[in-house]
Amino acid sequence: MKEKIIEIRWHGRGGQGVVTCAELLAKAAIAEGKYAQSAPSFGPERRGAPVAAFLRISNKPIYLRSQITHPDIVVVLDPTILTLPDVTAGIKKNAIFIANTNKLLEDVKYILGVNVNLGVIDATKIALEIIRRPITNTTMIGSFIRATNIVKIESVKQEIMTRFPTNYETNIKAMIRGYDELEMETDANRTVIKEKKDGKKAMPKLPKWRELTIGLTTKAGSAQAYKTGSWRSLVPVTDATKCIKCGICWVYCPDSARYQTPDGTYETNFDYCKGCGICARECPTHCITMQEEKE
Amino acid sequence: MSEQFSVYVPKLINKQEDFVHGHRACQGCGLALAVRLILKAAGKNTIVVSPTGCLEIISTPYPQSAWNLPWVHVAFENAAAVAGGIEGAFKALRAKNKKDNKKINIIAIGGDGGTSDIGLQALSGAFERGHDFLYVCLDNEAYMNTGIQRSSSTPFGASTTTSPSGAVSMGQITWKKNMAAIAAAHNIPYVATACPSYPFDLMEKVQTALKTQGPKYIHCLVQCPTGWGCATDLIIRLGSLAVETGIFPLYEVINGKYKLNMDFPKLRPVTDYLKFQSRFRHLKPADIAIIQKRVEQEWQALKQKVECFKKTGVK
Ligand SMILES: Cc1ncc(C[n+]2csc(CCOP(=O)(O)OP(=O)(O)O)c2C)c(N)n1
Ligand code: SF4
Ligand code: SF4
Ligand code: SF4
Ligand SMILES: [Mg+2]
Repeated sequence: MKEKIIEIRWHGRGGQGVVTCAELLAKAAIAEGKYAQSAPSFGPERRGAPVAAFLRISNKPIYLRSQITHPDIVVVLDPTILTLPDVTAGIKKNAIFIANTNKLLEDVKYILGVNVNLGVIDATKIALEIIRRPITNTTMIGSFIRATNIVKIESVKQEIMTRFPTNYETNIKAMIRGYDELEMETDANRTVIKEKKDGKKAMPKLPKWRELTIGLTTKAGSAQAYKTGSWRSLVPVTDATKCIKCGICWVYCPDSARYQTPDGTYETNFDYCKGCGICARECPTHCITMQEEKE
Repeated sequence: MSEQFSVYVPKLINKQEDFVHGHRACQGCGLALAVRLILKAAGKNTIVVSPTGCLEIISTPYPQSAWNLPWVHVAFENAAAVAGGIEGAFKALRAKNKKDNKKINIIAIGGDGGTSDIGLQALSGAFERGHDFLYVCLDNEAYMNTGIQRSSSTPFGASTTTSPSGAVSMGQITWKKNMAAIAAAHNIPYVATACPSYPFDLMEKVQTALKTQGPKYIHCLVQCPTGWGCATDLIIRLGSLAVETGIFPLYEVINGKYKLNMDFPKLRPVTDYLKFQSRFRHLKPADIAIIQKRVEQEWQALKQKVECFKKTGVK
């Protein structure tokens, strides 16, 4: 490792263990005599929302305390957030990018639309087989070690044993499979894509908080500009033929994401539905089923 | 419960959404649902005041707002004081003929921490001064916004990050503060308990409160899948279970007179409610027996109050 700080950004959803990933690896690096730092992203993120965590590893002390905006390495734990602009934001040219996905390597490359050194792994499948839950963090740690070689798998094993005293065996197994099964681009099979010039910004340019005057009025109802539909991992699917137009689903939806169609039955507003499953649970005719969200 | 409302739902409920989607509450947040329903009941000409807490964070990520009506964000401890101040300001403007007499609803909505802990003195003062406003406490039974710390409203036995369960602790060791009783002790004209699992009941109570002159208080239990450790789709059932086990009875105190809104010949065992939440998972049968006993005692005490007013006919 050169005398430089390696910056790694982890993406997932709240509750999936991105922060744990960064922490375990930081501790492992420190145990190896390196310097490391891990931090969660700051923000009003809630369970299910896309979240990020930051990890810095170096041979010299690290004095930087900021969030990571230009990562050398990006790891994405959740397949459904690969299309969000946040995962590629500010990424360095030819950075290492490791994605949990069941898609083909070159397809993912086109989805991302940036030239990275890409690795793919179906970590959800591995996690379901070994841990029996779609918690992919330890599997992704395995793939991360394989792709980057920054920390040793042995030191991470130690950290996992301390962190998960009761279920470390399955987690270590998942990590090793993540290591073994990562599919990484090589110079020979690299796909080069034309990058889009007009990289659209997710949010309009706004004054920084330091530039604000005291007291502020924001536009009523403007939160609608943010589509919470991307938080969803399960999606309510309605069988309109069984709908009795009672509106129960509409009343109980915390995100007002059910609406009445012209024929009187109720449908989901996929822009905002977070996939909590309340509508499906409360519908008296059971005409809503929660199904796995497609990528 | 829900079935019997089926036919009325689309006709009776205000279609206007004043708490818009795009807000950042967790999946299946009972607090967000409660606010949405409260605003539907309140309708036009409403001003809302909120202290900090989940509600503020999920509804106003800078520079956006999920509120379709005037909403004022204040400090953690002074929502009731600011609501009282707004009412005073309108009075002053009317006295100077700068404002017409159109009725304006002033609603303060705070969390359990902002209400039963740090905001209690401001609330007590506003009640005592007799401001014409409604205070709604959205009780998710801990400081959720800052990461699930206990409050005085956290129930006995619940594990939080500051009342953790473990080898030497069984979670929260104090009994939940009875905020509705504290509000009622101020002799204000209207006090009620509610839960979004009973949306019509909640909305009716908001409307009754807003029609009443003077200070009003609604204590609303709101389900928090993140802090309670329950499945997101179960929250409506959980609210009903809280009521059916007697853990959270639905009642009103109208001019000092107690009225039970849902009575049961026999309460369900408290485990029916506790078992779906990881915050209670560590409880042993002996702990649960203590909770069961306490719930029954409080239920009987409440029923006695209701009976007493029935007999004496005290207004
Ligand atoms: C005076 C003060 N102390 C502490 C805080 C930090 N703080 C912000 S929200 C919060 C907890 C809110 O709990 P609650 O009122 O129950 O609302 P919830 O988030 O649970 O809905 C705390 C401690 C603050 N903002 N101001
Ligand atoms: S799953 Fe149903 S209740 Fe939950 S947000 Fe989506 S539409 Fe609303
Ligand atoms: S709850 Fe079910 S039956 Fe009722 S309107 Fe919604 S989808 Fe239709
Ligand atoms: S922490 Fe609880 S109350 Fe706060 S937004 Fe999440 S579910 Fe709602
Ligand atoms: Mg709270």
